[in-house]
Amino acid sequence: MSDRMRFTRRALLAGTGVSVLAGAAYSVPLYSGYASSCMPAGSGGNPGMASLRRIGLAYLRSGHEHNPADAMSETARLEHGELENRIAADFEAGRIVICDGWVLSETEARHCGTIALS
Amino acid sequence: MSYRNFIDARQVETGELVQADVCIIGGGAAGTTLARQFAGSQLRVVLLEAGGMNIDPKVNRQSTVTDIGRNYGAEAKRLRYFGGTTNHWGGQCLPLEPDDFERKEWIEHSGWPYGYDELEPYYERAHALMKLGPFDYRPGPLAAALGLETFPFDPGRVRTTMAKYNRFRFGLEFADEIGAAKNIQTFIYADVTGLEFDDAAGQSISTVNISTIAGNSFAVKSRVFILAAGGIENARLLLISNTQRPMGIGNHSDCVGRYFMDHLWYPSGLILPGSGKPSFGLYLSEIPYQGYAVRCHLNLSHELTQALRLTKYRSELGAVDQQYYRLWHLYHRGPDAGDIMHLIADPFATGQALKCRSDTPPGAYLLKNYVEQTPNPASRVMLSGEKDMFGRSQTDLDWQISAQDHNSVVAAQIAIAQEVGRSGFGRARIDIGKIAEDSREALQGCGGGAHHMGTTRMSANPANGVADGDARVHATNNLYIAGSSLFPTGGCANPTLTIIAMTLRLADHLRIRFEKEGII
Repeated sequence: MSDRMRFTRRALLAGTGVSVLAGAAYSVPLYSGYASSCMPAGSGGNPGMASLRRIGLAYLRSGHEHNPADAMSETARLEHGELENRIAADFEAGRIVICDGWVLSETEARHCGTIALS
Repeated sequence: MSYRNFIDARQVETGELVQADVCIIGGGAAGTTLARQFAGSQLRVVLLEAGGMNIDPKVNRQSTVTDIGRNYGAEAKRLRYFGGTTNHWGGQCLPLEPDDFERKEWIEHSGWPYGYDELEPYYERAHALMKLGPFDYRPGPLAAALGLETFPFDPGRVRTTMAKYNRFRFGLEFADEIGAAKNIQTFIYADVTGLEFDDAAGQSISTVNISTIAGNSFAVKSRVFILAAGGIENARLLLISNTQRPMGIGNHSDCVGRYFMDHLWYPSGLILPGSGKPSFGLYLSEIPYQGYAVRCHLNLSHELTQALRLTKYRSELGAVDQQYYRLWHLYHRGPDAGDIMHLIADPFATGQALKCRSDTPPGAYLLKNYVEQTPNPASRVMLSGEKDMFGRSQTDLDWQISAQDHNSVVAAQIAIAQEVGRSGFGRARIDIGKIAEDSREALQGCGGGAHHMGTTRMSANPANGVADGDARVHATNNLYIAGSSLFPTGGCANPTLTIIAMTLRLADHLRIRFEKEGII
């Protein structure tokens, strides 16, 4: 794993990662909705986080991007407003990825990929 | 249902010859509508119904359909008695759209011999006949009248359309009127065993031969004949009429029975709204309105359909949380007939509710999709080696779904999901995202909507179809067809309203023909 991929979960949650994602209007369904909607029963822990990991793994396996590490790193640095704008722009331009059945913006999918690796 | 004025064909003397001007074969939606159009006229009308006034297993055994391709289950989708399949239909009505009649270069064999404008006045008349209120399918005024909202999607991408519902039982509605008409003779239990030309080289049908399960047989001579026996039986009757034409009647271009299509019914997908979104009840169930019912659906826009070169696509919506509640209730409170009925009636929604367990937030929408199937000559009805009690060949059905059908569904689902995200409404999950390379991979588990279309398709050019734009079988003078077997393509609208509109148009054509010939 490259240096850029050595994220810690704390850093992600405290920085521009999932905490922003969870608060962003566009990502409310991602975090509070579908992330927990199809959890295996009795899996325990934080169901939203577990599902985000599953989606993230699906993203990483998808081969959607030539260099996912760079893309995830770049996305993780985005500020709150930038993230919202990026997600909206992704959908507008058709930059979408299918991960675990969910049709997501590339930016969202990269965040899930980051979570899966954290 | 009254049948006191109908004739039980089982009582007719063997060898009797009935004379008519108009002989209609089939007493379903199209046949009864056509007969009714001539009630009280100078024309002698004979209406032949293979069944009686209710289900009769012995009658059903004379027309069986064996799946030799995909599982289709045609026999559960037809009713062989007076009133036909409308004795158990859901009553959903909506017209085809103008682009459904056009030739699309990405859909081989597409294009009707006439355009939407030709049919529109008949749609309006069909509406009045079926008690559907004004011919107005704009969802906006409806939503405003009901005080309900429509989804906030860009209509240039995903649009809202509406359907009307009236479970209009044609047999029940028209039996008395048809029975009372002095110029109409309705024979029940009259199973047609073949059509004959006046001479082997001729172009005019002179006679239909009829047998009954009681063992007697007779014939009808008529000026014109109309096949209105349904999308599978119409093709069968043409194919078994092969004593003078070895390939069957109207089969000069080997099109009879081919191009069998249905609306692909493929429940797949889920829309999850973001928090704070209102509920959209106008989409979730039929809402009583002005004597009929209404419900809205989501459709891919015309612009996207064209840009992505797709078939037409429409999604009916269901609620996950309703189904989950029923499961919860069943588990915690014990069996309840109503819950069980709903759970069994919608296994897709039940499966999704089970899959999503208790964490699914309220307001998630299931997508139950009705998709246009591309016309495919390899998807076909043909005669089987099995015979019925009259010696007629039974029917084999090789229903095929192409890779194009599959890939169109995938692209449409992704486009809808993209709009759900783009609009900020929420996110969508789809159940298939993989492109199919060939028909074997296409839409596994997909069912049909019980709409049998395409087997006697219309075409301007006799080389490409069975009937012309007037519904007259090519290379015949006096044999016509009514029903959805005429459809060259089926759009994504349930077909009954269009069948009735086309039948009313056929009635006008026949009236003009008889006037020109000096018969009326």
